[in-house]
Amino acid sequence: MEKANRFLMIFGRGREQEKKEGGLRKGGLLDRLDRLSDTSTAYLYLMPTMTLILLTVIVPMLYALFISFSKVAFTQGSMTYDFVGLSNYMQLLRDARFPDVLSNTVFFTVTKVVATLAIAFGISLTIYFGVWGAGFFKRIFLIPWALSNVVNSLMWQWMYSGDYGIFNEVLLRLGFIDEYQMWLVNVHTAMSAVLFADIWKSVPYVALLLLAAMQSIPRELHEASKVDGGGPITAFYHIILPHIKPVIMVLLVIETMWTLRVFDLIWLLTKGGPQDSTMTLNVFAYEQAFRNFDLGYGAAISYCITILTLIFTFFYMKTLKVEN
Amino acid sequence: MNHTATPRRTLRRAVKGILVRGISLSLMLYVLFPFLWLVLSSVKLPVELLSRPPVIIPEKLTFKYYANLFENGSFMTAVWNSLIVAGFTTLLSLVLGVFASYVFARLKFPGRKTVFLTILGSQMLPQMALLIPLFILMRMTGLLYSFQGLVLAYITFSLPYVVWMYYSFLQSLPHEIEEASRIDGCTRLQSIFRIMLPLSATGLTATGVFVFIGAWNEFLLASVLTDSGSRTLPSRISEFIGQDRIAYELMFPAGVISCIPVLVLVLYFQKYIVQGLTEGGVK
Repeated sequence: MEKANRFLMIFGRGREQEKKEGGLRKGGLLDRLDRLSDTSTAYLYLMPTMTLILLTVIVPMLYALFISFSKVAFTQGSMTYDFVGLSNYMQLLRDARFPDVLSNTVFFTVTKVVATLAIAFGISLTIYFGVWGAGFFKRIFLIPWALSNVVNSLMWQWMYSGDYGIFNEVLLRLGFIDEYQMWLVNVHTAMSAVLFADIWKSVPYVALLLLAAMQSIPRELHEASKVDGGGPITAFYHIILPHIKPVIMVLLVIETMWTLRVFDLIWLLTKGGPQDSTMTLNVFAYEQAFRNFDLGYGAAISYCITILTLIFTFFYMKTLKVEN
Repeated sequence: MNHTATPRRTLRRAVKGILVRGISLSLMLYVLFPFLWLVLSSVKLPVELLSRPPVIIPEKLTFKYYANLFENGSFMTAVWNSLIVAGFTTLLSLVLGVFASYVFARLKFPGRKTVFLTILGSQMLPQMALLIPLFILMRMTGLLYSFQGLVLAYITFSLPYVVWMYYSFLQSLPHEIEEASRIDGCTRLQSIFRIMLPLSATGLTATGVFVFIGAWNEFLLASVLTDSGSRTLPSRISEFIGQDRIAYELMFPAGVISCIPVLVLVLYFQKYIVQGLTEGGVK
C-alpha cells in the first residue's frame, strides 16, 4: 500500500484536480466514459481486439474450411472456386504418402517432447543440486530459445555438412564413424538429424522453467526432510517431483503444441526429404498449397493439423483437470 | 567449516570439484557451441572455411563479408523491413492487448469466459491453417506483399499472446491499489495509465520483448506473404540457403547479424524474460 500511495502522489492527479484544471468537464467525453458500467467498459475496451481477432483469425478459419471443400484455380490473376465437397479430404485419405506423413508427424512430436523433457529435467536437476553458476546458465539458456529457426537450421546444416561438417569430424575422431556422412540426405539419418537440432533449441528453455519451479520450493521442506533422515532420493520423490508436477504437465502441453507446428526447421534443413522421410503434415500442407498451388488440398491438410492439435489439447486438458 | 581435512575427504572433494566443472563445461558447450561455430565461420577466410578437417581456430579473421553485406542493398532493405514489421507488431499488440488484459483481469461481464477462450484458443491454431486463407484474402484485398498485411498476420499470434501473458501479470497486482486510486478520484483510464502500467512495467517489458523476438524471427508467414520488396530478414536469409551454389560467405554473416537485436534484448532484459517465462508461461 505504501508503494501504491507513492504512485498516487507521483502519477495520480485525481478527478477533482482535473476538474479544477478543466480537463474533465462534467458530462464531457472522458467523464461519460468513466461512468460506464463494467459491462459496457469491457465491451468498449475489447472491441478493437475482438475486431482484429475476428478479421484475422475467425473469418480466415471459416474461409479455410470453405476452401478445403473446393478446388481453387488461379487463372490470369483471378481465382475460381469449384465446390467439390469432401473430395479433398478423401484425396488425403487415399494419398499413398499420407500414412507415412502422419506417422512421421506423430513420431516427430512424441520423440521431440519426450526427449526434450527428459534431457531438460536431467539438466535442471544437475544445476539445482549445485553446478556452479546457476545465474550464468539462466542467462545463456535463453540464447537457443531466442535464435530464429532460420539461424538454427543454418547452423545445423553447416555442422551436419557432409564435406566440411564439424559434426562428422567429432564423430570420426571419437571413432563412431569411419568416414564423413551426409546426415541430412540419408533416409535413415535425416529424421534424427532434424530432431536433434529441434531438441537442442527447446531443451534449455524447458530446463529453465523446470529449474525455476524447483527453486521456488521452500528451503524448509528440504531441511525438514534432512532432519527426518531423508537423503537426496527421498527429497526427489517426496519434495521435488510433487512440487514441479503441474509445471511438467503445462510444459507437456506447450511443447506438444509448439512441436506440432514446427515447419521452418524441417523445410530449411530437408524440405521433407529424402524420400519423404522427414515429411510432416505441416511441410506436406505447405508443399501442396504453395509449391503445387493446390490450395484446397493444402487447406484440407492444414485442417487435419488443427484437428490433431485439438485432440492433443483435449487429451491434456482432461488429464490436467483430473490433476487439479 | 570445521571438518578435519582427512586425505579421503580431500580426495572426495577434488573428485566432486572436477565432476562439477566437467558437467558445467559440457553443458556450456552444448548450449553455446552451435552459435559460436556460426560466428566463427562468418569470419573465416574461404581456405579455412572450406577445409577438411575443419579448422577450429582460424589464423586470420576477415570481416570482409560483413562489409559486403552492408553494401548489399537488398539485405539492408530486409533489415529495415524486419525492424518496421516487428516494431509495429509489438506496438499494436501491446496497445490493444493492455486494454483487453485489463478487462479480463479486472471486470466481470456476461460472455467473459467465451471471449477469453476464443482469444486464447486462436493462439493454439497452427499457423499453417491460417496461412492459406490469409494468403487468398490478402490477395483479394490487395494487402498481399505489404507491411500492413504482414503485421495483420503477425497480430494473429502476438495479440492473444499479449493478452495471455499480461493478464497473468495484472492478476498478480493487488486490486486494492487501483481501488484506492479510484476512491482518490482517478478515472478508470487514469488508474490504468498512472497506476497499473507503471506497476506492471516489468511484465509489459517482458511481453513486448517476447512479441518483438517472435515477429523478428518469424519465417513461415513472411515467406509467403512478402515479395522481393517486402522480404523480412529470415526469409531473405533462407533465399541464400536455397540457391544452387550455397553462398556461405553471405549466409553466415547474415545469420549472425539477424541475431544481434535478439541477443541484445535477451541479455539486457534477461531478468524480466526469465520472470516472464515463469509467470506467463507456466501459471
